[in-house]
Amino acid sequence: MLGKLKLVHKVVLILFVIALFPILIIGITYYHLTKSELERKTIAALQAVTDSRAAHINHSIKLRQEQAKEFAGAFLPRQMKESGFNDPALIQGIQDDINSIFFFLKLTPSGRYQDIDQKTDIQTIGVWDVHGNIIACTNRDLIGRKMPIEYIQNVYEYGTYFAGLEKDPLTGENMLILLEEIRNGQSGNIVGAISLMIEAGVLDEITSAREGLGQSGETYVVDKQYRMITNSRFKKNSILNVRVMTEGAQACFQRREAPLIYTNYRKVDVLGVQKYLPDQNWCLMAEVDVKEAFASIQEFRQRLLLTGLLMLLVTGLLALWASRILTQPILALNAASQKVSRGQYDVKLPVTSRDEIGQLSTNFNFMTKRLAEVKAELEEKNKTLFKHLAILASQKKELREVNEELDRFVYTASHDLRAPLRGIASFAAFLEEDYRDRVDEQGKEYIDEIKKGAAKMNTLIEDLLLLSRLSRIKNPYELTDMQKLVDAVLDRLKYDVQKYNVTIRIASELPTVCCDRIKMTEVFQNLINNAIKFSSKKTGEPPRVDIGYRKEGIYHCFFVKDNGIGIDSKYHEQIFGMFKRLHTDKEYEGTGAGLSIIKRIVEDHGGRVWVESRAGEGAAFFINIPADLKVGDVESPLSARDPGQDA
Amino acid sequence: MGLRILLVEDHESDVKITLRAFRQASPNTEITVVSDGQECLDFVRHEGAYQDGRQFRRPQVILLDINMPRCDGFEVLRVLKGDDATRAIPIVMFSASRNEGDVVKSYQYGANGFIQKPVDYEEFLKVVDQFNHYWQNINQLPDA
Repeated sequence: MLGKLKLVHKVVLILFVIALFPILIIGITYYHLTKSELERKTIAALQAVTDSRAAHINHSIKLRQEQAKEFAGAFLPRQMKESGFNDPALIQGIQDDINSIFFFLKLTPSGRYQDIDQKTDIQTIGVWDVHGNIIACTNRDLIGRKMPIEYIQNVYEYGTYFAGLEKDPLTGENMLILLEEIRNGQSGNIVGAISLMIEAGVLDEITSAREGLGQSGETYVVDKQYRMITNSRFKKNSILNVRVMTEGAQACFQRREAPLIYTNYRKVDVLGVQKYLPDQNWCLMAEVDVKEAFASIQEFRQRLLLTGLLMLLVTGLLALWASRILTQPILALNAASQKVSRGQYDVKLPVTSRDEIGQLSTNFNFMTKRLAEVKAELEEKNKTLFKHLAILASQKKELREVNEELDRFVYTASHDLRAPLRGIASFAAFLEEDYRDRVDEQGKEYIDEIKKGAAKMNTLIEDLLLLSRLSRIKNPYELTDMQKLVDAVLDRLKYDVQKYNVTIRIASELPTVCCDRIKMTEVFQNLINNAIKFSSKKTGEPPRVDIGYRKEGIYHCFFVKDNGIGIDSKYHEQIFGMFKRLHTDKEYEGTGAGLSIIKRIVEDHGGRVWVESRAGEGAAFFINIPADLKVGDVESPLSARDPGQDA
Repeated sequence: MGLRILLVEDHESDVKITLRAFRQASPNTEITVVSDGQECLDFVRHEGAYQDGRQFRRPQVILLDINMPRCDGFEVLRVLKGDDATRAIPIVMFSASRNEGDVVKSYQYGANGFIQKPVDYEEFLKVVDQFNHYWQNINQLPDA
């Protein structure tokens, strides 16, 4: 798939991918590091808020408990009697006491208890006897009423009791309720208790502050009954009216304080931090909407993405630029080489750098220059060659004409030679017959020599005529099954084969060859005939003839091998000439023209004949026939005959 | 009665050889010799020196050489075979060579045979003997 792309695009792609990896890795790593850092910061801020507010709440409750203790210990006991509160004056005294305390608290809000908020938040101070009956109260309407029994029991058991935030059992208002026992100054016996009702707003003032909580953050306090005891930012009148059975609150009361993400009482997903207040058995909750808590992370992610995209864009552009720089010379080279391949050698590449591409361009320029030179040389040589070819063609034509002339001459001459020869032969015969009695032995011998000479000359003339006939008659090439051809020749020679008891072996399967079938038959007839005769002339070894074939490049190569006496290498050329006789007639009969005929036929086919032999070791005759001859042609394009060689 | 043959041959030695061969092979053959084509035509058509039809009877077979001066064998063949009066006379070509072109041409012109003259006399004798045997004993000739 990559292979189809253009070089420029490939380089761009590769550079881009190379650049993409570090960007991605750095981006992802940076994102994760920064994200956890941002989360940590958000949580730390929430934790700081809860820590300080928890301390604040605890502190203010503690202060008021101390106040109650002080009132109970410092003022009241001296006026209270162990025996009971039947004395109206005593009760009036107590009433005056709490009135003055209350009054004093209202007058000097920042006096002695200046850590407490500006104006006092104590709404009611009440004093009651051991039975729980209120005997004095800043709210006179409540005098004579009875306190709930569990308050009394707790106070008498522990001496001090923090009832939490409850509806005032007497007024029905939401109050923080503090109770403290009152003991007799002399006897130390418990004589009653003092109660402080503190406005619920005390807690609200602490929890409602918005610092460190962002847009959606809030803090509120939950008591053990999972009731909200401060006012929610989002819900009016929520004190004791909202149940906070959330994952955060539960975790807190199970003392598993940890930053959590959960759905809060408003069914909103929040990030929450909790703080358990052990003294009050409360839980301080700090919550920020998840959306806001992680808004900075979201924003950071978007910014990072944007930066990343920008970097990718820049990288892409850089890659494009780099690939242009890298590939431009290659493209130029490509275009130039295309021109050169179309034969335009006048291209010259600009060499702008010294690097490998610069060298390539230099080499390319050198190459095209050389190509142009070589082409010019070649064209020059071609011209000369064509000139030579034209000369050759005309020479070939002349040669053919001379050849034809020569053939005609040989034909006529041999024809004309016959008549006198017949005369010589015949009259010698007449002499022999008619003058038998008058010629002595010597004379008879001479007559015999005349006859022999005439016979020999007749053979020579026959050969000459055969040779000239070979040139004059040309049969169109046809597909010839050489196996059948050799079989036919062997059939014709079977008399000789039997006579000399020759073993004939056809070594391999012979192919079908396009050739002049009639003349090729002549060739094999001559070759095999010679081989039979040569092999039979050597004593000591049973005569054997091998006929074989192999493909030699564009040639069919046939060979005929005998195990005869062989041919000395100095005669290897000569034997194919006309009328070469290497052996005396006694040794070898047959015609001297056989090999010339073979040579002429094979060369007419554009082939070659040669012999491989050493004296005494048999001879192998090879013929090559071109494999590309066409059916119907009468002459091989390779045929080139030298007329002076064999005539 | 022997076979009546007209031998058309210009080489004197060949004439002698042929005559001797016939004498030896079949002595009763009646051979007339003319030395060129024109003479042959005159003889067959009773023209020129051969006007006496009774003295110069038409041959039963003509043995015709090819290479001859004046009028060669093919010309003789063409004329005789082109004439209704002489077409029936069998003509056997008697040539020094057995050139394929000559053989084909001879038969195209209507020759009745083609014989190559052997160089060896024994062979020559055999050929003459068989020629004679064929035309006299085997082949049926029309009555003159």
